[in-house]
Amino acid sequence: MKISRESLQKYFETPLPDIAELANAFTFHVFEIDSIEGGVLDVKVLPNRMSDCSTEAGIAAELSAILDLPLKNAPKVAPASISIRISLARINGILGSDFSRDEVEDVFRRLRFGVSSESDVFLITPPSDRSDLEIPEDIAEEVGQILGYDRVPATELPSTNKVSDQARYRGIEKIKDFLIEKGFTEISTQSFAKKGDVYLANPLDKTKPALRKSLDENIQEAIEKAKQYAPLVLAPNEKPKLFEIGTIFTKDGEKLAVETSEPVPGLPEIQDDEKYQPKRYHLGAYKPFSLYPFITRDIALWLPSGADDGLTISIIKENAGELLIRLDQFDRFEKEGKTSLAFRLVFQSFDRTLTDDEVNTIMQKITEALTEKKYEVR
Amino acid sequence: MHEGRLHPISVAIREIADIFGRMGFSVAQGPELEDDFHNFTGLNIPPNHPARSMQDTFWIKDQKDKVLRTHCTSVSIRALENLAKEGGVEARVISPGKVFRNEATDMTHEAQFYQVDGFAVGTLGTVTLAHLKGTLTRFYREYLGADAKIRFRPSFFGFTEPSVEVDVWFVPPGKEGRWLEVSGAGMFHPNVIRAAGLDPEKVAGFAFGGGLERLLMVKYGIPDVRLFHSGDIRFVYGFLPAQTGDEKKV
Repeated sequence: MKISRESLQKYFETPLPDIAELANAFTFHVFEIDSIEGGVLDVKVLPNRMSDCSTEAGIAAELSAILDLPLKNAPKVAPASISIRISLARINGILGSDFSRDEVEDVFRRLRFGVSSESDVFLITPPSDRSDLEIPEDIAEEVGQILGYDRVPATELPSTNKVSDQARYRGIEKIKDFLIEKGFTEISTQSFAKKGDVYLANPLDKTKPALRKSLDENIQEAIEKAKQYAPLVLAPNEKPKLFEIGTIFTKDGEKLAVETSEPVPGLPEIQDDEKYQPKRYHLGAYKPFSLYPFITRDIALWLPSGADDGLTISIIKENAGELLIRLDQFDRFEKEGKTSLAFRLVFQSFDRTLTDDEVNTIMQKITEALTEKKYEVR
Repeated sequence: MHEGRLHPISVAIREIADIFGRMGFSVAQGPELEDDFHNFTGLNIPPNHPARSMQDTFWIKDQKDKVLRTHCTSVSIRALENLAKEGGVEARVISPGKVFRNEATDMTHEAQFYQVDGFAVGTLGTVTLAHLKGTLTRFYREYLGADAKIRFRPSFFGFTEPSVEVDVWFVPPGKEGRWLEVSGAGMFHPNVIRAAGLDPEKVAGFAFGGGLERLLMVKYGIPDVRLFHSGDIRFVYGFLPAQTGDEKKV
C-alpha cells in the first residue's frame, strides 16, 4: 500500500521522523517497505494484518504504537470478545529474551490492549480490529516486533545427548563419491518431461507437462552436449562421463534413481551409512563461460636444447593472446636426446564467433615465435 | 584416471550438513510429490489461507490431494510426526531438497530449486527464538565467513508464530558488503505441533527454510539461476579448481 509521509503526518501532532527513518521503523517493527519513491512509502502489509492495516488510518495507528506517538484523533475501537492468557515468563520463553514486566506492559499500552493480571499471568483483550491476535504466541510476536528483534539475543542450542541421524544422506553421497572417483561428473536436470506416468494439472512449460519417470533421457541429452563441450573443460585424453541422482515419478510412486552416461561395473546400491564421511570440496569463484563457438588447434614440436615444458607453455601463451582460453599438453616423448611436446589449444571469444582465418593467424604467430627460438614445429 | 566433479548443490549440502551436524542436527528426506496435508493443511495453511496465495503451486492431474512440494517444511512435519510416534520431545533436523514453484523463469527465478529447511524442538521454553538466532548466526559464520551476521525482520508464515525474515550480512570477495534476505523462519505455530501429534503445551521450537541457489549465486558470483539444473557440464566445471578439503587432499 502506497502512503506518503505527509498523509501519515495528518494523524499526528508531533512531527514524524524523516522518510528513511519511517521506512526503518516499519521494516524492523512490522512491515517491509518495497520502495521509497518521491516521499511515498510502498508498505507491504502482511496478509494477516489486512483486517486493521489496509487503510491509511490503520497504518497510522500501527506507526503510533511503533514510535510511541499519540494519534491526533485516536478512534475508539471496541475491545475484542476474546481474551488471551500469557505470562511474562512464557513471552520470554518463546522469544528467548529477558524483557521486564514494565517493558512488556508498555508494549500492551502502545498497542491499546486491555490488560488485567492474575498474579504473573496477563489477561489480554486486544482491540476488535486486531482479529489476527488469537493465541499467546501472537502476543509474544507483538512484544518482539515492537521492542525489536535486535533485542533478542543469539543463543546457541545446548549440546544434546541425542545422536543425530545422517545415515540416508551419507549413503547417497557415498555413491556420488564412488562415481566421481571413476571419472563421472554430477549434473542436475529438470524434473519435468514430455511424457511420464504423472502429469501436472497446471504445467508451466506446456511442452513438458509430465514428471520424469526416468533420468535416462536427460542424461542422454546432457552427454551429447558434454561431448561437444568437452575440449572446453577436459584434457584431450579425458572423456566426459556424467551421472545424476534424482527423484523419478512412476506409477508405483516416486523413488530416487541413479543414472550414468555409460554402464558402471560394480556400482553399489544406495544404502544407509552413518559412518561414511562424504568428501568435502571447496569451490573457487565462478567463471562464466562464453556462449560463442570455440575452435581447437593442435601443435607438436621438438624442443631446442635448454628449453623445457614451462618455457614452451609461456611462449605459446604470450603469443596466443586473450582468445586462448585453454591449453592442454597431451603428449611428451624423448627420442635421440630430443624432447617432443604436443598441445591442444582452445580459442573462444566472449563477444563474437571466431573465424578459422583469425585462429590461423594466431597459430602462425605462435609458430613463428617458436621457430625463432629454435623450436622445430611439426 | 581423472576424477569427475561434484555438482555445486551437493558441495553446498555437504558443507551445510557438516555444520548443522556439529550442532546435533540429523538430515532427513521426504517425498517431492507431497500430499496436501504435509505441504499445507498440517502446516497451518488450510484451504483459502492467505499463505497459499503467496506460493504458486504445481498441482497434479487427477490426484486432487497431491502437489509438488513448495518447501521442505513438509519434511519437517513428517519428522515431527515420527518424533510423536516415538514418544519423544526433542529433535533437530535439516532437510535439503528440491522444491517447486509455478512461476515464470528468468535469471533469478526457477520453477525448481533447492531449499534447506530445518527445525529444533524441545520441551516448552528450552528452544526459543534466541536459539534460532544463535543457530543461524553460527551457521552463516561457518558457511560464509566470520564477518557474517544476521538480523530478523517481522514476517508472516502460516506455520510459524512469531515469524521472521532472516537477513545475513555478507561481503562477497572483492565487493561491498550487503544484507541479503536468506531465509524465512520463526517459532513453530502450535497448530503445526498439534497436527504432528505432539502437545503444544509441552513441545515448542523453531523452524527455518531458505533457497540454496540464491545463496550460492552470491557466494560464488553465479549470474543465472537456470544454470544449476541445466545439465550443462560447463557449469559444473565453471568454478576455479576445486580442492578437496578437510578429509583428504587430492
